[in-house]
This record gives sequence, C-alpha cells and structure tokens, in this order.
Amino acid sequence: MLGSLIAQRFGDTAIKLWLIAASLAFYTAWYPPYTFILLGSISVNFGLLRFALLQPPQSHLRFWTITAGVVGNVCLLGWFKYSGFITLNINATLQTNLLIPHVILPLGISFVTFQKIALLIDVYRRDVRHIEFLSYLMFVTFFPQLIAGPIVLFPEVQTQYQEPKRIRLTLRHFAVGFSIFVVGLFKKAVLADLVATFVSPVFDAATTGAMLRTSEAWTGVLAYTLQLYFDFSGYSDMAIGLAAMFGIVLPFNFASPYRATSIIDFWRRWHITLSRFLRVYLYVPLGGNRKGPLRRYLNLMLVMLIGGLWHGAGWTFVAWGGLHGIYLMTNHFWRSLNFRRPNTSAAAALGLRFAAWSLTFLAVIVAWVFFRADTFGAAALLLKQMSDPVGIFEMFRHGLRSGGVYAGVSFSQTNSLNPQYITVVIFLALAICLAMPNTQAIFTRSIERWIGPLHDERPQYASLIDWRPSHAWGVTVGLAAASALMAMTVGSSPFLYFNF
Amino acid sequence: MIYPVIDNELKKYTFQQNSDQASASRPIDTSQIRLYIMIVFASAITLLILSATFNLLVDAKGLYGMVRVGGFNSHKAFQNNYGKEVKTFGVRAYLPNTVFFGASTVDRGIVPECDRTASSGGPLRIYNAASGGDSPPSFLAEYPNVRSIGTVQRIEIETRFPSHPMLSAKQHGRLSIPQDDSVFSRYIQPWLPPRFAINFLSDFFSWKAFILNFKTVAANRGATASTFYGYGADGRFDQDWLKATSPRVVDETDALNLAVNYHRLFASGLTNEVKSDLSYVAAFAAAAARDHLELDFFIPPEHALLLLSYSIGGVWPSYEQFKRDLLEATDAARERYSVTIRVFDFGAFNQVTEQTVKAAARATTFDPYYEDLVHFRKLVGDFILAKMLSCQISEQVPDGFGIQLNRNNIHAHLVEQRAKLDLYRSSNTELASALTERLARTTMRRE
Repeated sequence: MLGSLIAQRFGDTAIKLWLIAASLAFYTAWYPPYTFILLGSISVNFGLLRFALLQPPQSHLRFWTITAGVVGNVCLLGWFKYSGFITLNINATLQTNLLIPHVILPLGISFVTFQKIALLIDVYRRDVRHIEFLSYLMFVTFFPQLIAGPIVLFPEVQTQYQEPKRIRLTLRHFAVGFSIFVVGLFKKAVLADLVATFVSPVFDAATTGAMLRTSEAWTGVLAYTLQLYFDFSGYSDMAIGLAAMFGIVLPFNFASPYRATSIIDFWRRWHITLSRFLRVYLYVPLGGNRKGPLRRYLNLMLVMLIGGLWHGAGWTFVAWGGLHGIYLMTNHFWRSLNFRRPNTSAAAALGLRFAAWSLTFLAVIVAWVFFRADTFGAAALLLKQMSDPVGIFEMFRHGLRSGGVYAGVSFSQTNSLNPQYITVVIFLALAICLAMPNTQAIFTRSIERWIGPLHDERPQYASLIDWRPSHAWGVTVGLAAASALMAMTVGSSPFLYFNF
Repeated sequence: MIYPVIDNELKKYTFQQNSDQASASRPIDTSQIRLYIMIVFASAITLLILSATFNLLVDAKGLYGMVRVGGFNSHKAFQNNYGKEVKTFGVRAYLPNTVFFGASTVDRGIVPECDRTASSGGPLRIYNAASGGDSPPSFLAEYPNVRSIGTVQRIEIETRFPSHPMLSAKQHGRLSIPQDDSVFSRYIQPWLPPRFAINFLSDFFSWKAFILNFKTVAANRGATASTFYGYGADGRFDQDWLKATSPRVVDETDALNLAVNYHRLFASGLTNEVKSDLSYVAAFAAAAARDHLELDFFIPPEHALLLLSYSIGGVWPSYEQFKRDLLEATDAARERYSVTIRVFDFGAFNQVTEQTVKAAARATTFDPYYEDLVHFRKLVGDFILAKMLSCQISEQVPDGFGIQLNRNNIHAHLVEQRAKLDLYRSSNTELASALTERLARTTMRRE
C-alpha cells in the first residue's frame, strides 16, 4: 500500500507497474519456479492475441490462431491438473502400469486459464479489438483475483485500467474496499473456520466405512455446505474489497445462493462468474437452447460435467457436476411444462415457496456430499445414513449434538464448549446465510457511487442497510475486523477453492 | 464507461456505454470518510485491547506455567476437554523440552501432571501437541512449529497400527517435513522476534483465549482440589472428576459396537505395504539428527477387546508384523542418522488394557483406565509418562504395562502376547462370540 501511494504519484503507468510487480511477488512467494510458467503463458497468449487482432475478421488464420490459444491453455491446465488423474484411470482400465506424474498444481491455474480462454474468444468474436500489454498483464496477474477468482472478463476491467487516474489508493476507495474486505475476512476467519471443525471428522470417518449416526452425517454435510459458502464467498469478497481499495471494480460472485428456490436460481447466485463463463463460452457456443429441447438438455449436462471436472481431477467431482446437470435438466423440463400457478392465498404461496426452497437446498446438499467425499463409497454411506428414517427421528429428538466419540467420529475440539454447541452453531450460520443481506446488497450502491459502475447483470437490490461511512458502520466494521483478527491468532484453515 | 452486458437470448456479451458515468465523480465529503476510517480502526483496537486486558488479568503467565498451582487457572490444565485450546497457546510461557505427538487418545490421556523431575535429572516440561484425528504425517507438518519453540529436546510419537487411516488425502498428503523456505521465512522472519514470542503476544488477542479464560473464571467458582487431582478424600478415584474429564461410561453393547467400528477404522487402511507407511520414521529421524533431538515411538494402549477384534478379524499377524516393521524401521533410521530412538509397546494384554467391560446394568460408574476402547484416561497417560520418561507419579505403574522393544526381546514379547490373547479369549468367551458374530455381520453387509 505504501508502494502504491508512492507509485501513484508518478502516474498511471507507474501504479500499474507497481501492482503488477506486487502481484508477481505475491505469486512468487508461493512457489518461485511457477512464476516463469505464468509469465511464459502470458507472453504466448498475448502474442497470439495480438497476431489474431491483426488478421481480417473472417480469415482462417485468425480462427486457427485463436483455436491454438484455446487448445494450448486447455492442454496446460490438463497437464498440471489432470495428468495424474488420466494416468490413474488408464492404469485402472487397461491394467497398465504407467508412471503417475506427481505435478504440483500451480496456484489459481483453473481461474487464470478460464480468463485467458474467455479473452481469446472475445477477440475472435471482435468484442475486444485492442489490447495493450500492461492491461493484459494486469488482467491476468492482478493479485486479488489471481488465485481463486472472481473470473473476470477482459472488457469489464480494460476500461477501468485505461481510465486516467482511476487506479488510485484514495480515501474513498479505501473506505469502501476495506469494509468489503473485512466482511469477507469475517466470513472466512470467523464463520467458515468455525463450522469447518465439524467437517473433516465426519467425512474422514465415512472414508474408512465407519458406522455414522444420522445426526453425525447431517452435521458434517451441513457444516461443509456452510463452510464452502462462507469460505469461498468470503474469499471473493476479500478479492473484491482489495481491488476496490485500488479503484478497480470486480464482479460479485455470490448472491445468497442458499436462498435459491430452484436450481436455475441457485446457479444465478452461486459462483456467478463461473456460471457466466460456462454459459457464455461453453453452453451458448454448443447451441444453448436454440437447437431444440433435447439438444438443450444435452448441452446442460455436458457443461455441468465439464464444470464438475474443472473443480477437481476426480470422479466424485464429475458426479457432482452430473447431479447438477440432472437437476438443471429437470428444472428446465418442469418450466417447459408451463404449469399455471393456482390463485392461492398468501400463506399457501409462502408454503409453496418454502417447499421449493427446501427441495432446492436438499438437492444442493446432496450434491455437496459428492463434492467433498473422498470416495463414492464414503458419499453413499453418508447419504444412506442421512436418509435413515429412524436416525432422522432420533435427530429431531436430540438435535445435531454429537458429543464425545461415536463410531470413531471425534468432535473433541468442539464438544467441550456446550452440549448443544454444534446444533446452535450450524443453525446460527444457516440463519446468517438465509436472513442477512449479502455483500452485493450492502455494497452495490456505494461501489457505484464511490468507485465506478458495476457489471449490469447484477440483480437489483433494495437493501435496507446500505453501507455508508457512518459511525454505526464504522463501529460494526471495526469490531468485525478485530473479531476476525482474534479468530486468526489461533490459526486458520486454507481457502477451500485454492485446491481447485 | 464501457461495460459488458449479456443479451436476453444469452447469445453473447455486448459491451455498452454506461450512462451513469458521472456517478463515480460525485463530490464526497473527505472529512466524513476520514472520520469513518478512524472509527473503524479505533473500534478494532478498542476490542483488541479489552480482550487482551481480560486475558492478561486471568492468565498472565500461560497455563502450563501455573500447572502446579491449585485452584484458579489449574482447572484448565486438568480439564481434558479443553486440551486443544490449552495446548494451542499454553506453550507461550512454558518453553517445553518434551513434546507429545498423537491423536485424540494422547490429546485426552496425557496431561502433564508428572511435570516434575525425570529420574535422569532436570525438570520435565511436557507439551502435549496431540490432536484428534492426527497421525504421523500430520505430525510431520507440525514439526517446524515445534522446532521453532527452540527448547525441545525430545519428541514422543504415538504410532498406530498400521497407520492412522483417518488421514484424508485432501488434507495430509505428504510424508516429509515441509521445508519452510518461503520468501517470508527466508528473508523476513530472521528480522522478527522468535515465533514463540509472537505467539506469546498474539495469544492475548485470541478469541479462543478470551472464551477459555471466561469459562475458567466460571469453572473455578465451584472448584475443589479433587477437580484438579482426580482423587477423593478416601483416596479413590473421584467420580465427579472422572465425569468432568471424560464424561463417558462404556457398557458391553457400546464396547462391542466400538470394537467393530474401530476395527474397521484401523484395518480399513491395511495394505500389504505396511512398511511403506512407516516412511515417517526416517523423516523424523533425519529432522531429529539435524536438530539434536531424541525420539520415542510408542504403540498406544488399545483395550484388549479391540486387540481381540484384530485376532477375530484376521489381522493379528499384520499387527505383529507392524511391530516388527516399526522396530526394523527405527533400527535402520538410528543407524543411518546416528540419533537416539526408542520404541515402546503399550498395545498389549495387561492389567490396564484388560479393564473389565461391564454389562449395561452395571455401567453406572466410571472406570479408571478407559473412556472407550482406544481413548484412555489421564491415569493411563500418567503410566505412559512414568514408563517412558521415568517421571514420578503417585500411582504404581501396573506390572507388565508397556515394554521397550528391541531386537532381542521382540520375538519373546510377541509369543507372550499370543498366549495372553488366547487366555483373554478363553476367559471372555461370551464377548468373543458376540464380537465374532458382529464382525461377520458387518463384513457380510459390506460385501
């Protein structure tokens, strides 16, 4: 920050160069050799982009240049992320004994690759007609979003990078950005890490085939559902906040996804920038909904399977994507039936809405089981225990409490504090997800007013608690920052999406 | 301002001119923002100072520094359920010379009450670094932290048969000590105070410390001496104390269920390559040689019923092989790295591990040794300390509890254990047949 304050005195180029240098230093601190891979990939991509821009719009050379770029990026991702997985499966299927490569996954490669592919396609479509090197370097390396998104599109930041005196660490940028950052930090350090303690014991026990109680299975799965949301949305908020401190507006990534009343709605609220990428750069080019319903369902399934595989090199991730593919197909089929909603009372409408929410939430939870479980066996065991009617009855009698050690599951870190601690924590966290306004709702207006316009696809919010630089907000943000710091002093878990 | 907009038919993005360009440049009162930022930092600092003050007032010296002081504060050190929190920041003023690594068994069972003098001379300052679900690979990840304390001379490592399978590949992948060669540790850390000094300071600003101290104040209101030491006025185990430290009574049904579950838990990770799982021995030995530390590996005291399940489940030969392999691995590491390594076996039949399994109707009082088949109580932890570290405890260590293994005695030890296994089976026929039936049922169901 001090460097930024000094650099910005020397103009726009100096601050950009400083931020790029800081971003590269940040990346290098993790694993220096991979910085060269990042820089090499940037150089090759930029060369291809510039070459493609020089070609006439309909030329074959333009098409093949872009194709080479896309394939190259996919291959790079494939080598680092999927080579071990592919070899393992070849060995298992063909009974071969190929050496399984142990490759360290470069930080953020999945996110960076998608950003680079999106830009290549934007150039091919002539949606982007000019790229300058510094802007491209910033676009790829900018440290807040380098590791785990949001997945930014070049045009939505290009204009910001080129706007004179836009990238500045000013008081107003800092006030908004720091406040968003603190909200993200609080979500991660206080909420996500709090529920995280219930997750591993359950999933690890399931991996070993231990007999879990229904309450234990639900505890682990619900806790993971919440942990993933607070962890990833917390990271996204921190990234958005950090960027905002320098005057750069990144797109929001979450909009209270667990409030969704359909799976279509869920994907408009969960990891918004990934859904956007998959929809615009995969689903639509595949034909989207323009080639009949059958093709639409096929496209949906294919996109979700690829989305699943993108999250991790494992069949459980593919299963997670496949499940969401089935959910989306069902949801679209249901909508295509065009059932007319009966004229019901407000209470009945509310009941219907609650039923829709419950079904959606349950479907999402079931899919998360595959997302987190180490094996299909573990996932099946968890789902079996979660759906055991006797266990469910017992659970409603006694709550989610799992004190002591049962079936090899130890909640030794948590059970000491309060007998009903687990139930209270999980339902409190769930209530925060469902009832509290999200970061978008709180900060959208202030970002637009104090920094710059947001992406226009956002839902419209009528938030009752818009952020403003008031005393009350100052105290709230200050206390949240201190709480997050205090929670972090004992240690915190790494961000979950760093794995993807 | 140009910004992307997705069209209604989802064909592609278009990039449009934003009509609200002027919005970002509306005049804003700078003094208001300045005041806001000041309030943010002032509120944060105030909360941190208030919490630090409270933590300082309640626990100024760190928990382990006050372990021998009865009453206020001691409660935490003897309240096993708080083990995790205790060890997390209790190390700050303690500067231990002996560190225990282990899973929840050690976490709950080893409480440094015998923190007095070792027979070899000099005070023992034991730091229990164990944690539920941990295993040697995760201890390796923790090793740099222990080393950073700077005063550790000996490490005690719980090593379980065949390896603790609660490992998640997503969490513990490596079998080597992480090289802390980040830019931070290489270039910045040397300019900072030692890590334990930072821990010392950061603990004052910790929520966990705050909550724990808050609970300490409440807990000590009604504390009595027996709350801390576990013995009533009649010299017997105080049931209230046992209840407070390990609130669990295991009856026959529970024990059988647990035997089946733990058997599956431990045996599920069993492969033909138990030896390869022991690669952590060499990793620890290399680190210990570099840092001039001594190492002890110990096989934990599992209840006899669980040992019986190994026999009935057909993995007893692997259990024996695991002990031989462990000894072989430590011998090789000792030779290669010239480091002192000892191996202790507590996973054997003896008066402690054969604690009676009660029928449900009689399971109303706590027994002194186990809270379940693998989670031993503090007294057994004291026996382990007395045996391995030769420290003084008030109870006599039962005969035959724990043996230091070496090349010369392992064969005889294993033969003796086989005989004791047969004896235990023949004198607990009902339990054995119930266990056989349950193990067969679960195996069939799995198939």
